[in-house]
Amino acid sequence: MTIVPSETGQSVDGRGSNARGQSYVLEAIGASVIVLAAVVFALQATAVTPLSVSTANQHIQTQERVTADTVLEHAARNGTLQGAVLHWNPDNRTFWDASAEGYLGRHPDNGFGQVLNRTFGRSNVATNVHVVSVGPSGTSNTQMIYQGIPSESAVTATHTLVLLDEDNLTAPGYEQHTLNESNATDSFYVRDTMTNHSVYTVVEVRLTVWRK
Amino acid sequence: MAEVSPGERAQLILVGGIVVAFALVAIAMLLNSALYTENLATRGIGPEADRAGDLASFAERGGTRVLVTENSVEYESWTAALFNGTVSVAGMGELAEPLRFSQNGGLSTIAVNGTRRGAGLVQTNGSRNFTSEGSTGDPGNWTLAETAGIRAFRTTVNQSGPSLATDPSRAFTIRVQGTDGGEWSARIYANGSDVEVNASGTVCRSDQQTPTINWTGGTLGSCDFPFGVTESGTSLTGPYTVSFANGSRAGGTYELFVSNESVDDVHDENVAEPGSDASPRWYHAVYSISLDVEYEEGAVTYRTRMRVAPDEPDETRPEP
Repeated sequence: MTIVPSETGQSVDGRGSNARGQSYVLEAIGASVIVLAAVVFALQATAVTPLSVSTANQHIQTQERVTADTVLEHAARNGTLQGAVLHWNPDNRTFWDASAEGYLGRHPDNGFGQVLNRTFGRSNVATNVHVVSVGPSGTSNTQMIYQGIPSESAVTATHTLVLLDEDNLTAPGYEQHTLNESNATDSFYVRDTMTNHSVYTVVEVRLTVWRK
Repeated sequence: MAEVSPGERAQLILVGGIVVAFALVAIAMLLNSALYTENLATRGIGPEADRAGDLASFAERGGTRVLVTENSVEYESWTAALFNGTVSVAGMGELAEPLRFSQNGGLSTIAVNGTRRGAGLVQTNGSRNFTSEGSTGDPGNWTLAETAGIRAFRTTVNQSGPSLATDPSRAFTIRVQGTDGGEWSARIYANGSDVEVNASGTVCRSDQQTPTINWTGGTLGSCDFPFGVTESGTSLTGPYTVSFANGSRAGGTYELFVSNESVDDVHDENVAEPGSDASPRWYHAVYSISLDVEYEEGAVTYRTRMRVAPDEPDETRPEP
């Protein structure tokens, strides 16, 4: 073993310096690996953040579903929902002042449509409304309002109504027309599913809402 | 900075790195816990619970509409009245079942648990006064029924018919007396060209020619008054006796439904029989229906029992 004096005057062992240097490098590498692993773990562990699309969507969806439920409940309580279901032109076999596919891109000009306008018209929320019924010939799904294809975050609220034989249509000029009379001429979009009793049928109004 | 040897510096770097690593992990876990807790706390049950509520609301509203329609049919027997009322309400529930299942996969049941017999008392001749139709007793002062329950009591006064009294003490009066001696009363009389109603001390007025007074609802237009309580505000104790006084001092139409447990509840000696066109008359009806409502969808199971008795005030509800 050759002892070579260092510039500082201290004697240095060459092989020992080499070994210490290697251990220093290994320690540095080990430290950096641990720090890197910790950073990667930290980034992977935060699965849910305020910026996460799923969390923001969930809150918005819940809010929209509650709003849609409230709109339907309010309309059912004041009779405008039933009025909208019966806002039918038996001669044209369409909803009043609507196309064969319902009200396209707009809300009907009745109490229910006004509620939809007030609630969703100004908040950039689109709505589709369908009237569904199940009878002897299967399920019938009648489109009342169509404003587009719902997005993935769309929510649907439903409300069930009973229609009676003696209920009158609400379309202008047809207020004396009962469902019984419409059924006799097959001019209403749902048939009488409970003949010989006062109940005409049961329908479900489905309101789908989503942000445009 | 303190002087450290190269060896110590490396170890410092290592320890420092480990401390930073642990700090990052701790922050990540704290942040994750807080966000996930907030996410769980604000997560709703889902639409299943809303649909269960919708079913209950449908049972109540739909059952009410069906019962009101059935009670407008003047059945001549309780068998017919109860049968048709039950079948219609039950049928309404059966129609909802496939709708729920096909659209949402939910299992719903609306079943009739029980019915209570009732009687409808009506006067449909609007030009007639409010006297009895019977040939015995005082036609102007007569008893309509002695009953455990009263609901849907309405009067439409026709000012073009019999003249209204201008003196409230001589006015047409409706009385509902309880078994404890308490009494609710209402007088209808003219005040100028207006119709005025004094119900247990509360006065309401209408300027319509044929105003409709909702007794059990306690309204005349936008004016509210109490029903089924004394002037001091004490509730009556049933069964109740419903009677008219000074029936010749007002005219129009009226209807009310009373709970009828025995053949003597309605004083049928004072009114025409079911099936008659005469006024006033009585007919067989359903006073109330009890429903069992059940809904299952996913993790939500909902059961409730409800009673449907349209326009029945708490004050004159029959004892169970």
